[in-house]
Amino acid sequence: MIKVKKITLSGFRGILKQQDLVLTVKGDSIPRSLVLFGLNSSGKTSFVDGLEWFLSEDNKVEWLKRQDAEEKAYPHQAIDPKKDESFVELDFYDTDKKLATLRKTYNQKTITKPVLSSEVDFVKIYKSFVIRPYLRYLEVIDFIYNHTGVEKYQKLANWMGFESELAFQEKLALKILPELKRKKEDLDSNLKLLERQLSQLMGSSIVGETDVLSIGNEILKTYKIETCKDIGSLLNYIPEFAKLRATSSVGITVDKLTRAETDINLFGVNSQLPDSLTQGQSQVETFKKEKEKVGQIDVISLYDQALSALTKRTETSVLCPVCGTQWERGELVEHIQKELSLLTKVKQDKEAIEKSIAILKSSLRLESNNVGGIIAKYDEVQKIIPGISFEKTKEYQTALSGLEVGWLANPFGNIATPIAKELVDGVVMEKEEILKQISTEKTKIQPSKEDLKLAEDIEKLTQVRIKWLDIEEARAELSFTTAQVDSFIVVSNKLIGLIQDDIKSRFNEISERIGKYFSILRDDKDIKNIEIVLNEEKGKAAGRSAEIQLHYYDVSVKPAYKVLSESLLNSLGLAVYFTCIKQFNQDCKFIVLDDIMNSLDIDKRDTLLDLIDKEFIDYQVVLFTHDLYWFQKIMRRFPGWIAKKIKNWKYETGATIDVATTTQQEIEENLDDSTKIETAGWLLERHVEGLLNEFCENLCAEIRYRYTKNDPPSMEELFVALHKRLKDKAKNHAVTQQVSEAKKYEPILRNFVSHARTNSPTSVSPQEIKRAAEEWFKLEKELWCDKCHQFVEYYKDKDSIECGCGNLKIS
Amino acid sequence: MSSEIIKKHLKDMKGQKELDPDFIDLLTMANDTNEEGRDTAIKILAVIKKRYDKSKENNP
Repeated sequence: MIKVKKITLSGFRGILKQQDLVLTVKGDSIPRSLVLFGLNSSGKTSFVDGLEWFLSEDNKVEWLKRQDAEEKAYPHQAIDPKKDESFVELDFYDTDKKLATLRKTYNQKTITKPVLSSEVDFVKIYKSFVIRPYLRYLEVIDFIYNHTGVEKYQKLANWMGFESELAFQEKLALKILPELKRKKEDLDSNLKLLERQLSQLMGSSIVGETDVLSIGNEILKTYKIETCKDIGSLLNYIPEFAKLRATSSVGITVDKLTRAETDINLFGVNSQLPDSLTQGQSQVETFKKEKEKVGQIDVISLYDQALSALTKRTETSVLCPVCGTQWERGELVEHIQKELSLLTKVKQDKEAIEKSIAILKSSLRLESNNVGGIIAKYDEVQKIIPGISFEKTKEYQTALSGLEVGWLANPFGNIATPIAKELVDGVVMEKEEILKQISTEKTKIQPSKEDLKLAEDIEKLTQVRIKWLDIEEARAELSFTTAQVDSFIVVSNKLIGLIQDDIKSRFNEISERIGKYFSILRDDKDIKNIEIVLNEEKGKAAGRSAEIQLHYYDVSVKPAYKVLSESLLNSLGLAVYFTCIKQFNQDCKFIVLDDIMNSLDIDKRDTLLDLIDKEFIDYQVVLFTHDLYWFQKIMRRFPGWIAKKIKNWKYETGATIDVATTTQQEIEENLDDSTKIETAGWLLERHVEGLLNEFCENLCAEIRYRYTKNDPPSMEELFVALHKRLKDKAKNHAVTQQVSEAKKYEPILRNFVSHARTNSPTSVSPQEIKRAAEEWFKLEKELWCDKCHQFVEYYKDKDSIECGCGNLKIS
Repeated sequence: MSSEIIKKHLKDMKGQKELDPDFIDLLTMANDTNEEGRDTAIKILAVIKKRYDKSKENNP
């Protein structure tokens, strides 16, 4: 089992000079829990930051990451990097005696890679804490409110230690499977294109096996050739059929012209290309015109320097390295954030343009190949018909090549030359004209009608055969790939299923405990069956998102925040976190809680202590608070804990930590000093008033209704109410009389509140204050249980006034 | 960060000999080396293409 004996920070965050947080007491080497009081901005959080950085395998402090502060903000800004070190050191108590002292030192040269005192031992520590042992107030709120199902799952992954599994699930769902799907789509589009071409050749919208066989046999019948029984026979026979081509020079010429005619007919200009190019060019031009934006693209990398300037400089006015403007230091962060959002937009615009350009490049390359192919055909035709002209097509090819090597190669630098629509129309007209000339030539060389028909039929069947074989190949590849991808999906689904089963079983394991902890934090019998549920059938994030489900008045509600109040939700967040700690950090019984009681209503804060008392008494708890009343309460409730307070915090040094005393000890110390009688009186009054309120609340004593918060019950009213309640429920008990005894000093104590400034120190004698204190502490003792360290409460179901463990009963 | 749990599941899956062992190996490597999802997809497609070419050779 691992606990912590000492946390040391030096030159880290708000702590400049070495500061130890000792978690042991003299004569006892076993670490204890600690409560540390400190006002806001007194350095408490520096210890939590230090601990988070120390325990983070990625060497990160998450909340600083969210504030865009990152590593540069980790060392104290006043350290001299040449002389001083920034480090966090933990002195461990390990029952297996494997771990002792470990230190993580900030590395000024490579700020993301600190120097570790022992790489091996740090790996042990990272693995030991499945759940990170520190919880901040804001994280509880964040978990319940600000997370979608997916984000909640990520947070649970973080708390419950299944981040690697989550990352793998995401890799499969968001990267691998979409890429395989895309491949299938590409193969499918290629098949559809081939089918369209075959359909065009056959002049039929249906291009099945029967149709091809039927059209083929139809042609064969014309030549009195025996028809084929199946497509295979037909495909095998077509090359034989092609041998019927006339062998005379006229026949060969007609064949050539017919083949060229078929190919030219299949060629089609991409008529949308000029518009797409114009649109792309216009997008780029608009982008280029915004010179300021383009300028900013070049300085995106300077953003890091901006943050560096923020964290290093000390002058009040700072030059923004992005825009060069002089800014007040306080406003610079906001300004840089605005600048960054603008830069982000510019970056997004640029990425969108680059995506369009990539699509254009691909279309242009395809078009260029097609045009190259048709020019080759025209060349062949020109050898037979020298008079044909295809200047427009050549011009089109030159324009396409020019764009490919020019503007599309560097759209933000090179000048674009648009392709005129007239040029594209010219290419189409040229094609029509050449087809006309081929037809005329075929007539002119006067082959017989039969020869012409035979040449056309041979060419048609040859092309049909080629396309059909291509289609068969494409179908085979698509079918094979689909089957293989499906086979991969079976592997993937099996693995995902196993991962999800693991996670569901972890959820089930913890659900029961969450319910138990929630019922300790909140005595709300209408909320039952709290569960963490994996969303398995919800859109894209199926299997990668989670929600909290519960029964509210016997109705199942998911997500839980639909019905729970803010305070109940906070309790739920705490219940989830504490459950994770209990369930998964079984070897490391150490938790740090940073001001988390703020997430609970004042009257429910005791329940957090109940939870610690009942379920985490064997844990080492380090609790930071800025609430003095709460601090005193913890000291009373857990007398075995170390109690310390941060007396002050200075930029040059950090926090000054001192041993804390209970209010009773503090009052007694002041009473021993004749110059501090008034302070003792003032402290006693505050103490009495606070506890009277607590007693009245605990015992359900009846107090007059308050219309406003500014009209609290007076001390006298509280005394009267408490006395009446005790008299009603425990008439003859000595404590009732003790209330009366303590109440006698109420006018003296009241003076310290109402007239503290005008009261002279001599108006009340030290003896009177001492007697008042004695009577009051006697009363406290009567109502306090030394066994469970709690004051008595009224239990309605038993109609009894007793303490939490039942050892002390007032009856 | 590789996952020991995933590694174990993949090992068990391979041991059961019901699923494609090459794909399981690729996923094991993806987990061990923490490679990019796109790289894993490219490797899977390369395996599929190789198998397709071989199937054509066997059934010309």
